[in-house]
Amino acid sequence: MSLTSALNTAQSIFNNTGTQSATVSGNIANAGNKDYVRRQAMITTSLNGASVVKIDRAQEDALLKQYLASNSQDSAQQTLLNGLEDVKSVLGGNDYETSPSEYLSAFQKKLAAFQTSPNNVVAAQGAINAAQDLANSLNNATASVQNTRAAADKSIATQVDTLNSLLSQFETANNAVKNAVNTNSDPSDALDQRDKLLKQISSIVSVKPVSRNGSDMALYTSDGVVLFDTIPREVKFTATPTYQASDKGNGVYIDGVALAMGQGGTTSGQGSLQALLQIRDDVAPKFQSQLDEIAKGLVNMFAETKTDGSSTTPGLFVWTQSPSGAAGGMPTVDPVTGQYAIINGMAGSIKVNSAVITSQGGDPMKLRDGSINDPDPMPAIPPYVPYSTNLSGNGGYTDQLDKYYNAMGAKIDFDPGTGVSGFNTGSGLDSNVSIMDFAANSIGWLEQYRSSASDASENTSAALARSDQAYSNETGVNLDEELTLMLDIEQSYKAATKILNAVDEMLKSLLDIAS
Amino acid sequence: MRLTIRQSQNQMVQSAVEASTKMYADVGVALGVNTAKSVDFNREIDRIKSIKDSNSVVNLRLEMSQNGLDAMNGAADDLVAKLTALKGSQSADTITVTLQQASSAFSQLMDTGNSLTNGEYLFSGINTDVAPLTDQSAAAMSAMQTNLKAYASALTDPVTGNPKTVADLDATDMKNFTTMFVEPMFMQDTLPTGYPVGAPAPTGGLTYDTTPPAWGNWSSASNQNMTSRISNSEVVTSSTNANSDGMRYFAMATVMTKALTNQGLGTAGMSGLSDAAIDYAGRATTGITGQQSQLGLSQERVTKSNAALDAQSSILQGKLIDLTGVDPVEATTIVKNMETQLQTSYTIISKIQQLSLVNYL
Repeated sequence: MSLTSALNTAQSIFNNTGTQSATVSGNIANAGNKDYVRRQAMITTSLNGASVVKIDRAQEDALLKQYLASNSQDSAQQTLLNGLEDVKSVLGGNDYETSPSEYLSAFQKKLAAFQTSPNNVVAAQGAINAAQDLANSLNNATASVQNTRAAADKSIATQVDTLNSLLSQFETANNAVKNAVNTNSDPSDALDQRDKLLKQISSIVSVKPVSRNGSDMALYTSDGVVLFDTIPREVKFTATPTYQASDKGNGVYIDGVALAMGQGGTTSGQGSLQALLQIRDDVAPKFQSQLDEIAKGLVNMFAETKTDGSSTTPGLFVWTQSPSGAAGGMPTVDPVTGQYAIINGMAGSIKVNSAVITSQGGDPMKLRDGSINDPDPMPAIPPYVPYSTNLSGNGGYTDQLDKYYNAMGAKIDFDPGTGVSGFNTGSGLDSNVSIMDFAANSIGWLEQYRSSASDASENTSAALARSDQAYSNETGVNLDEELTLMLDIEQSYKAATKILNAVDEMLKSLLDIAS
Repeated sequence: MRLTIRQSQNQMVQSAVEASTKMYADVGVALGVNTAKSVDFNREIDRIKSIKDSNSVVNLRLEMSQNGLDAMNGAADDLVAKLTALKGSQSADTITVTLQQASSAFSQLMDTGNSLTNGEYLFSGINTDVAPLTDQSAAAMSAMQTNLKAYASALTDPVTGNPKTVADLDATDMKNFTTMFVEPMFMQDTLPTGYPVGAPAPTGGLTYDTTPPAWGNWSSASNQNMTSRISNSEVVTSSTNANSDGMRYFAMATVMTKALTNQGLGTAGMSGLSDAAIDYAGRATTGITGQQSQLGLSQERVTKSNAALDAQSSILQGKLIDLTGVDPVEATTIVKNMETQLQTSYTIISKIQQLSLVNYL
């Protein structure tokens, strides 16, 4: 040992403290940055004293994976909940003011009032107006539900674009990491960038990172589909700009494999894409088919039959076929199940027959007489077979109105495919309820969905907050810790200057002896 | 900490709403599938209200009908009193008084029969757009008078062997006359073929009027009465019509009295006429009372149904509150708890903010 080597050591201390303080100041600068992983200058002893070997990054792969999973789940759950809130908004607020159920019951009340005063034109018009409100509410609900689908479709398109761009950025970041590792330079910044992209990807689609040789990383979805392997895999989606009830949306294909949609209120989907698919292809269409069943029930219920029973035609409520726009007849029975099958989009085209609307030259009293389909004036009977059950036009005639009123309370077979529980003679599911109950059950179905989605969303957001906390506890920057480190560095710098001074003194005295 | 604050604030807003409305802030999320039940209950309560509203309309119709029938009953009773007096004394005064009473009873009939409530003719059956009674009394009276003279001429006076005059008619003749000539005009909707059936041929160049108005000419009422729904399951008859026997006898008694009292009948004839008229007026009262009791039954049903609906409604209200109601005290307590929790969070945050090594270096 010699004084020169002591000087060398002091010099290396200066070197170390320089690097250390650079690292510490870098940490402090990024104290608020969530995507920054704390670095530490690790000191190892070399032959000639302390020397900085490498910068260590506080990487926590297990916690990162946990974070990614919670993020996917929470993102899916929140997206689903938002979609359900959208659909629920169709029904109005806490009292469901704008729901078809509410309008159905208003219509039934007006019908009862008309029945009490069957010769009163105002009462008749009241019933017709309520019927128009009901038809409008079904039309509006259909339009809103289809808008929700279109909005979900648009979000899917945007997110697919984002995902593709994130994956290509991931390629750049991954290559930067590989290069840094291969050239033995510090990969920390590139790693930060790569982790940040991972987090962003995880909110769109579930992602499982797999680390490989040379810090390379491959990405898979939770279903095992390759998202990224050396190069990004293409995510394909063709948007559908507008939706009709009968339209089916296009699927999302990752590397050629279709992405499944989420299931249930506590959605099985991970990442917003699966939840959006669930809204577009499950929630909204099911709700739509419930609306369609209500429309179909109304058309059937208020249909008129000729007095000889030879033919039955839609009466008060008429509809048009989609997309031809031809007038719809009586809903037909499915030959296989023996059930009236759901007619897609019927709720969107249902309206009140113009023959009873005063402003369109109609006569509301035709509802009382059951003569909506009879031509005006009535042709000679016979040969003409009338629909009217009140040919003499008695003002106090209530039988037809009472029939309608009873029909609204009577049980009907609804298609069990609508998701509203009920008994169906064909499939053994119970959908045999009155139209009023069906409309109320439809609200129940949606609220059950929303209620469990809402509960689950509280859980997932709590889980996300937990794993976020755990991850940032491990990887985040603690200002106080950095400051204490700074003190250490300061001390060791001071010590080094002392050494330098001492050696200087010693050398000086040596040289003094010599002189 | 951020999560705690966010949740507390949400919970606080919710509980504040619940404390003031005493209902869940978001019924759908709170009840899930049971929301259907709450919607059902709300709908039922609404429906009960609307049925009660329409019951009040039905009740009005029933009460108005009862009133009208009461008035007719009163008029019939008065007529009977006058006719009984006529039996005892046939002075010109009594005849005039009887005629007046008959006229006023007849206008009572036309008035009541054609009364309107809510734009509905009360006694039209289901044909509520058309006034049920048309005054045919002029034609009916002249036919009765013509036929009475002709009928008298067809009979032979047993003492003189000559054809009788109106003054010669006795009680039996009058009874036969009313059954043969008067009854078919009111009791049947169209006259029987060969009217007057079984009448002897008149003499002295007199002829029968064979086309007097029948009840079908008087009345355009439908025999079918109106029915109204007064509860979810019950439909009652809520009107009566002018084709009932009571109304027919009433018209018959009054028109007959009006037509024949001053036709120069003898004492025996007059007494026969009074007997017949009293009989018909009595049947009218019986018939009308029958109608009244029918309507009374319906009224009772409406009252009972209203009581049942009230009970149902209050049960449903109770259930609805059980389902969607929130204990306001609990909600208020939650608001207070949340307030404390939030304040604690804020205090801790501000403490943590002050705790930085920077301040001490």
